[in-house]
Amino acid sequence: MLPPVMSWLNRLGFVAPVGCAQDDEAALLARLKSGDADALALLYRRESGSVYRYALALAGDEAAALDAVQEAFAQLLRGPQAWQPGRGTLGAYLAGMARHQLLNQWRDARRHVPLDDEVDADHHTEPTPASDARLAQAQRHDSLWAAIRRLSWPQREAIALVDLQERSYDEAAAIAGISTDVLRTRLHRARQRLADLLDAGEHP
Amino acid sequence: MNDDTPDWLRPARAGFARLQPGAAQDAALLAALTHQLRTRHATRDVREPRWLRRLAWGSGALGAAAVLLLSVVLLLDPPDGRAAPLAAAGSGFIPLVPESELRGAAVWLQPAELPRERLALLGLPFDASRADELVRAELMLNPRGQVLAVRLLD
Repeated sequence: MLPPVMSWLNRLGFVAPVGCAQDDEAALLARLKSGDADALALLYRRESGSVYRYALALAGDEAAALDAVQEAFAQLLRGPQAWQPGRGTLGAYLAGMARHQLLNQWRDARRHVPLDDEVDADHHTEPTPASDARLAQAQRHDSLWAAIRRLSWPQREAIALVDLQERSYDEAAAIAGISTDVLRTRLHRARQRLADLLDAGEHP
Repeated sequence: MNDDTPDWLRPARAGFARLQPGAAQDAALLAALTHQLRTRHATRDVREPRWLRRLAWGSGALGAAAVLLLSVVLLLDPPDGRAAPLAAAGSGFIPLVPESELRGAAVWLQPAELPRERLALLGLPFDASRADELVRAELMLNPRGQVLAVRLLD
């Protein structure tokens, strides 16, 4: 399995072994604890893109996503010892911090955040074969993004973590704070709902 | 990697991976974080030398602080304070001893800074990500140096 870290090396097509990446993260974090700004810059370059995209998928708003990224890294600066390498990747930890920040923002604003799948609980239809139209819609980034934004928060999160960021089920479930079984169920419904939206073209 | 992503959804990964904040916003965010890092470490370095910080986080830190505190308290006459009124409801003090020991005792208030992780021992909400931060507090001591109550100021 590839490390879920969207490193600049990954972006260039290089892949580092998982153990190597985690050792490197731990070393960088040790430098960060001693106030090394270069270590911060390197960690930021490695992790911020992935955290930003995840936050953007949840928030659907660039400013909120940037706030969440900043708060995630600020938390890391305030308490770098809170990340334990044995309990997940640094990227997953930062994504969890960003998620926490977004939830707090929404709760403060007293906006309704559906944290379960009740909104789409009646979508139990069987998966349908991919139609040419859906494939074409999915390949058009704007269409797909608009359709994803119409999903509920938990469904957007499941799609973003597993299908778009290619995180493992275990890691995605840990970030979302749910069991892998719940994640699988949520993801199944999310894919079905997304397929329906793309097929129907029910998005702006 | 999970291989059960539907075929029609896979092409979206590349587009999603290209989403980035604007270069100016990205640079501003990193600059803000760098400033926060430098401020944090500058403050820490001014506040206490490195050897003392290491000592403070060592296992003997609490004992050393207690011995120092006790020495100071025993050398000074306690002010004319009484524990019961000070620890009354609404004062913000959290009693650490039975109320009978508080009532009528002469006390001394001592400013202190506690590691945030100690809050958990007092049964207060605790945020693990801020465990290394210090919290300003006041300790209520009796003439023997025993800590009777604590009040958090932050």
